[in-house]
Amino acid sequence: MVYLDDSIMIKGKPASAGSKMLENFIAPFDATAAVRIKENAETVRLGEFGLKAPKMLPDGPLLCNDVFGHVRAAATKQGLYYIRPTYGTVSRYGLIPAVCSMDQIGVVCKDPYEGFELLSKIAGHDEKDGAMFPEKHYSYVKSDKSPVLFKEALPYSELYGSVFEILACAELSGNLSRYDGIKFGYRAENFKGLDELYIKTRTGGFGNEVKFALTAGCLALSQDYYTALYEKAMKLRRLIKESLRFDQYDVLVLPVESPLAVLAGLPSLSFGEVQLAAQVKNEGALLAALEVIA
Amino acid sequence: MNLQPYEAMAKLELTEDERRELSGKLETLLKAFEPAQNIDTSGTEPLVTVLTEQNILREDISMKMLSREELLSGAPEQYDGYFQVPKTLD
Amino acid sequence: MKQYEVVMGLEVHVELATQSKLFCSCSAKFGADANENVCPACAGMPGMPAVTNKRAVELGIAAAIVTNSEITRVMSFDKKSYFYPDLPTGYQITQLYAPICKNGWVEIETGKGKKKITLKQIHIEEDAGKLVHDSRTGTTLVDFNRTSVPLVEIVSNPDFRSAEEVVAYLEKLRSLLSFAGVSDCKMQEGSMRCDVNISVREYGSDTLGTRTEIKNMNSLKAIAAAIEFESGRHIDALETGSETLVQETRRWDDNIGETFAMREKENATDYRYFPNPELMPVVIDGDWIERVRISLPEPADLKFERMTVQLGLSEYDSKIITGSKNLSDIFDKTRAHFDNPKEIVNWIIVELLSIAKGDNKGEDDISIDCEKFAKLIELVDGRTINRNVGKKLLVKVFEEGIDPAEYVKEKGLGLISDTGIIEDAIKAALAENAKSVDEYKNGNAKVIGFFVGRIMKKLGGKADPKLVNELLMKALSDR
Repeated sequence: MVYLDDSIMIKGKPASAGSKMLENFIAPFDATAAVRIKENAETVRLGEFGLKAPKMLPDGPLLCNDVFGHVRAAATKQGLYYIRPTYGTVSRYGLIPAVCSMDQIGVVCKDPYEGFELLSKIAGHDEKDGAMFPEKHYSYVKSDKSPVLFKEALPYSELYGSVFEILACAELSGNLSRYDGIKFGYRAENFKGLDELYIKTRTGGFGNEVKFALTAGCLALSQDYYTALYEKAMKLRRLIKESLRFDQYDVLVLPVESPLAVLAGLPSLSFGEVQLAAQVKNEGALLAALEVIA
Repeated sequence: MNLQPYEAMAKLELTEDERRELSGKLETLLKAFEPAQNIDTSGTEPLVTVLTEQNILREDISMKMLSREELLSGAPEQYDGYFQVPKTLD
Repeated sequence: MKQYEVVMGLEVHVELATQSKLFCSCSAKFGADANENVCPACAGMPGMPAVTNKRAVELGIAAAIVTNSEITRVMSFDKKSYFYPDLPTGYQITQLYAPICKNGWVEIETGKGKKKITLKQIHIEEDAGKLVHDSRTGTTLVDFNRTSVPLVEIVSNPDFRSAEEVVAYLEKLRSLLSFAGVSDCKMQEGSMRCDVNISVREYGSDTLGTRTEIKNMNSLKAIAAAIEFESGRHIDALETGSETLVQETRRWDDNIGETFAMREKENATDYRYFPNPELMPVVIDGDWIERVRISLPEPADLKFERMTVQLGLSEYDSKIITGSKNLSDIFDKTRAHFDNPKEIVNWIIVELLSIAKGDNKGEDDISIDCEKFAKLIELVDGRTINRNVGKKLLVKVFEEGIDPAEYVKEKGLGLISDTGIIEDAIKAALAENAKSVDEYKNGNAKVIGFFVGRIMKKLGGKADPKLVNELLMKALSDR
């Protein structure tokens, strides 16, 4: 039995991404990840578009897209592991998008080996996703080399949070523009004219965290702030990624709340108070590092 | 901070309390991002996606995935095979 | 009175001739019932990542080649955001930062001679859906069939000085793009659309006047009329101060024959363009460009040359055939079955076009089975049927798709070519009219016509008149 965040679609079942906006939306097709697990699956509602902390996580393995870090924080608090594989290795076909350059299905699990086993079923190229690595299969094997760990402050680390927030909110504002009360999902009841339909529907359908993120995202993308905020953040994202020196270490030991792995597309494994991040496509180092630390 | 232009872009309407709260959050964010303005990025290309793959393209083959009934089944309002909205201006 | 100069730049949208849409696999064909060619992706539902149509990129490369443009080595897509019911995702995927090509040019010819129109850029983007204003319900109805159909937008520099130049340019673009297979370029169906940016300044001035953008013209005639109206409005405003010109978008109303300012909002949107992280950049290397270049069909001007020089056809006829990609295709396909260019051109220009016209179809809308068309021409050319029967049959081929050879056999329409039968009829006719034979012998040649009429009547009009004449003369001289 596997649990799916209900932003991963199962045909004919509600897919809400935890939002009132989608409360009566029925998935019109199956997500690739849902098809590939080949096991009984049950959907659970988590925080709205990943922006809100979930109340309680199920105790079985849970597939979810955790961009904003609330799931991994809740998981480690509950004594569970959270594994996020390399960006571009698990198909997003059938995943309700939040932040395209960071969306990546990962797994919450009691045992990291069980989590990696589940990931090995769902990871691999899918022609229905236009942004993936070409490898067909991934097997997650523990690296036999004892890993070199790096725990000190990295360059630009004081900017990770703001760069992440600017980019994530902006992309989110694009992806959530589709929710307008016209094609599916929630529509406000009393409105005069088209503009009021939009505003009342979106104001009533989204929770506060989402409304704040969308407003901030529009600000970052507006002519007033594009160069100073959005473009600057994209440039810093490059500097941040290029500042990582995986020729000198195998695994970064980061606080659970660090957005670095999400920003740089690195595989990561969180438990307790730490988040381990490895070089792209070197998930094996994570298991080896985990054993060292534990 | 006047947030109304950005709410309008997002087709949202915040309450005064919400505006105050979000203003505070945005000021914190802008402050945290301030050091970025001292970093010279003039020669740096924006990083749009961390994936380095290129030319992920699809062959030009057409397929029908949904019937019109399925497509419209979740529409808040529909008429005669169309989605329906209040009258647009032009 | 001061002399004024009209300055215009064009934005031409051309739908690409692909099977499927730009970022999903729905059919891109025109003319289906509302919302029949729509999937979750192009209805704005979440969960289907965009994947770029390779053919659309190739047609974009073809458009770049025929407009002499510099192709971008690494092109990418951006999102342009706004809320409107015809845009189901709330953003249009387009190209702002790295469009497929830049700095092209197209040569046009007008009464004033040849001129190069320079292009700023061409970009690939997805089309929007269609809104229908419904008077029964007083609401707007939304059809997403056209949503995400691939387009190229061809943006020119402000090089135009007259409506004549604009029309010549659009005709040239239509020829270049339709012959390259990029698009069928049908203005009535909206697969070619044109917005005009227009301003007026005093002659000799080097600063531009206030610019307006005019939209919603769906024929060359409407474009010329809209330019005429709008430039007149600008000049009036400058001359008399009757109104203050503002930079705005205006809509052409073809029934009224005037332009009207569009709602304020259209003019003040912050589109929040940003690079689309969901789509990987597309590298267009020299090899790919070369492959597209090699696969390009013959352009209209080369075809014209081949028709006039190699095939010996008249310039007049060749111009008509190469004026339309469709006629040109019909010519080629028919020739593949019956290689008589002169006859084929004749049949297309004299007969096919007039039948189509009666059917309210333009040259681009004619569709005919070229194999049957060729057979028909062959039947006339080989004298199995006469030309008049041929014309009637063409209507049946065009409208009902009959097989001309079988039809002729079934209905017994073929000309009698058995000389024995004709000779019998001649013999009978001469025997019945001995008096007229004598008249002929006395030098009255007029009776020939009388005899031919009699003989044809006996043969039910199905004999070749030329053959009848020959045999009759022989029979008369034998007497």
